[in-house]
Amino acid sequence: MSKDQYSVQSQNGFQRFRKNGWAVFCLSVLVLLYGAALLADFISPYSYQNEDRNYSYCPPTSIQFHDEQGRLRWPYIYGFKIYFDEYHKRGYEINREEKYPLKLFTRGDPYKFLGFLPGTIRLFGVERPGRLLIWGADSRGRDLFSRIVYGGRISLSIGLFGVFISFSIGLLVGGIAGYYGGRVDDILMRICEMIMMIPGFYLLLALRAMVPASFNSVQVYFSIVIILSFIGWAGLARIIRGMCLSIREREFVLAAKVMGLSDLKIIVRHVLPHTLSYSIIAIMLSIPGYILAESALSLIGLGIQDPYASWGNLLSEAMGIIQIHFAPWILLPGLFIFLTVMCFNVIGDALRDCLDPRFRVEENL
Amino acid sequence: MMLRYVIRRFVVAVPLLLVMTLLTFVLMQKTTGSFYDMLRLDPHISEDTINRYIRLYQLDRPVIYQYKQWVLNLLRGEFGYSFYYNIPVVSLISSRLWNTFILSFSSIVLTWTVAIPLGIMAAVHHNRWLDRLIQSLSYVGLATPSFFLALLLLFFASQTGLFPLGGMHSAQYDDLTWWGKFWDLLRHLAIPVITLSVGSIGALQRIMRGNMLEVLRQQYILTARAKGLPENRVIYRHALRNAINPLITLMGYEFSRLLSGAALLEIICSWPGLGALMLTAVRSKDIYLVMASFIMGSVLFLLGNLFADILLARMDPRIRYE
Amino acid sequence: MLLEIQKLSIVAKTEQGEKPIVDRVSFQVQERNIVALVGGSGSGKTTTGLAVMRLLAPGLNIVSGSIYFNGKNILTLPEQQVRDLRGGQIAMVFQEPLYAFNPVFRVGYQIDEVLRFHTSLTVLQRQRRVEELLRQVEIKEPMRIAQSYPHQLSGGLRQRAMLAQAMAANPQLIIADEPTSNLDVTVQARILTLFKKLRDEFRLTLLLITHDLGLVQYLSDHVVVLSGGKVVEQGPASDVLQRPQEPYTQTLLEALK
Repeated sequence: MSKDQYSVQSQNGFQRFRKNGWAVFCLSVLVLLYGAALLADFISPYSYQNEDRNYSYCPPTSIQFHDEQGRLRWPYIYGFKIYFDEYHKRGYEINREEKYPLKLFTRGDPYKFLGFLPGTIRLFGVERPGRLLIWGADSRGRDLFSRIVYGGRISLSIGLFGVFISFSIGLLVGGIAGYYGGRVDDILMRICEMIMMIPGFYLLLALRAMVPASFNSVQVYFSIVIILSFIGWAGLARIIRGMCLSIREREFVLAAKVMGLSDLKIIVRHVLPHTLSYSIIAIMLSIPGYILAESALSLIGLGIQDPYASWGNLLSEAMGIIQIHFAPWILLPGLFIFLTVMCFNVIGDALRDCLDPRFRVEENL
Repeated sequence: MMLRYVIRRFVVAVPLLLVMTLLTFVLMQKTTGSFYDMLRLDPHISEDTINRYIRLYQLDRPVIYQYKQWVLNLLRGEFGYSFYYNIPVVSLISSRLWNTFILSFSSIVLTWTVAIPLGIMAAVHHNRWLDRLIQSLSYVGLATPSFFLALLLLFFASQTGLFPLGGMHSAQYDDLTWWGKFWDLLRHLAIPVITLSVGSIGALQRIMRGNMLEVLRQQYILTARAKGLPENRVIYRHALRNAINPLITLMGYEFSRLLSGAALLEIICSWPGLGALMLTAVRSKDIYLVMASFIMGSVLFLLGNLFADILLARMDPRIRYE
Repeated sequence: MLLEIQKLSIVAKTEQGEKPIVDRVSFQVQERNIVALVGGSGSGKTTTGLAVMRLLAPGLNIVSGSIYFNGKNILTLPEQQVRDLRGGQIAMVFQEPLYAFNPVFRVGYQIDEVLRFHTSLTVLQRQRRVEELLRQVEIKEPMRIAQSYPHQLSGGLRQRAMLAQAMAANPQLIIADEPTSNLDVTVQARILTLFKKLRDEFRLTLLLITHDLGLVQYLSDHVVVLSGGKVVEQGPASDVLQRPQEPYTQTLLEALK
């Protein structure tokens, strides 16, 4: 019943959103990034583990479109020859003898799509022993492009999971506190206050220190998600609670009570939906925080570990000055983090502008 | 009334800190195994030291008892021993704390010196190209992850040699003159401070601009102009004084936020501060160091917030105009 | 003739286009007169008053007409000279002195500012002048008031202080925009008497902007009635108030009874 009332308003909101050029663009970028993460196996030429130390810190391969006579040809790459200069530093010399044409829909490293469908077809690649490193290689010769695409899976998904859990807890706690008021409200808000009192990064580190070293990567992933959610729900709960305090005075809440609905049902089905616009905006604007937190943890080695890739741990290679100086392409994952954060911010702000007059609490029509 | 407020804050904070530290302590112990087994593995630590610490912290007793001992020792000013660095925790923390403080303080100075004038300019040129430019830059600045920016700046520094690549002092620091030392410190501060400040400048500038726009609409600005005062005076005396009041309280929050936010940057820029210390401690399961830096960081954070809250309450006209 | 407004037209730029706020308004203000600019809200009277000071808000533009002050067209003067005029020869008093004074500075300081920028008195001389001004507006403890903040004073005191500020540099013309609307009735009466005294003793010329005809009756020599941005009727106060020609004026007067 109440849903109908929002749908008229939400329509207007989303229509206005569509008019905002930047917001639509950012949304498309995000769709692209998430899509790429989902189809990582297909899009990336190599598996994230495919290493070849002969190509350590190899610079990006340039794709040739013309042959030596300047004629247009199907794109190809040259082979590389490694050499060591007088300082025993690696250098890569182009070997024009070897040519590897670009292949589409080629057989590459095997994978399991969605975890169970086996496959080997990848969008593009070159035949061995050629190595297509569009964005260069890391210390172990792994293709950075592939690692970034796979890394997107972890970095982008942690944001979503973390937010999902945080918001579920925050909405519920806030709703309960706001609806009941009194002692329940007091206690719950005290707890929130306490959690928010601790400096974020320190709390992150401390909680991370509690995770046993014996956990495997999957368990670490989920521990991180839980840690992030734990830090994040309190702020949201407080605001939702404030909103619910005023919502519960409305007639439809009274009507629901009279009809004999249980308190929990009332909170979830009738009170909380009125916080919808605020919640959507808050979600959009919070996701960057989670992505950044995971990246920060991985950057200092406390997050996702090798060989798994996340944009954060890809950047950890960049922590050495030597690496940055001679192989600046390893900074690329940072660009993706930046891009993702920007996009979420733009969308969140655009949503806020669209839904603004109704952004506090939905009014009855 | 103010006193009651402060006391209430402490009453909430203390049990919280106790619970957090207890959890950290217990879980760290449980997951790394018995602590003095770890100690024995380290050839640097003599049997004597180990025995001394077993006695001091009752390491052969149950974990809870150890924790109680730790708290008691804490109250006595005994922060424990760092096994990784091989020196008492207290000396480690005090020097690191000072370094973090220098970083935070410099960041606040930079943020305010840049953000306030930018905010004023943006407000005065409302909706013209300068305003739009500043807004766009702020937006980008706010979205940029600090660690990424730091890495970019380090890359830039490595290519141009303009700034040192991390650390706090150059190798020849001790040989430099007083002025030389100061300059050396500044050069080392540059990258971490700029990175730390970028986001804050964006945020503060926005707030300043908002306040200025609000103030410039006020009747008393019209009066000031009607008095024939030069425009500069109208903006920098009449408007600014009113616009900046609410911002003063933000300073307190900035400070506490910086204390914890600087940790990541300290690690990337090899700045020897409290955050970097805590990280090394966590990594090496150096338990007393973890506990001590956690407590230190939290206490400073709490104090900073408390200070800011008090400032806020005092700035509130309802209290001020009593 | 001190002030002469000729065919002044002002428009406001809105999303729907240009909206006329003041439409070819003309009237004159003789020296030592009190001219009342009367009308309801939206009649353009405040805008006209602000135009004299060239203090229009950014969205308002003067599209035609001239404003002569002492023979010179204000609208063509360079900014610096206009600033000299403002506060120096033409001063303005506003409706709500609580908001018209800057809340963070003391009242005496704000009055002193006028002296700083329009006179060459020394600090000590300025201090004495401030005291003198406050006494002129019948404030009993001028030094205490000068040291006070605007919110610490009562409405009546604030309005007097605002008047003192306006008079600080001995202006020839004072424009008063609804000077008594926010005061209660008893205080209003006293302020009005003050206005009269100031006019008589200090040879002030006053342009009084108001919607309150009772005020007009008591105080003005000459009346200009505005409605919808146009001058509907004008003339000596006695004429307009007792023998109103236009229906609009008549309606206004009806409301008074």
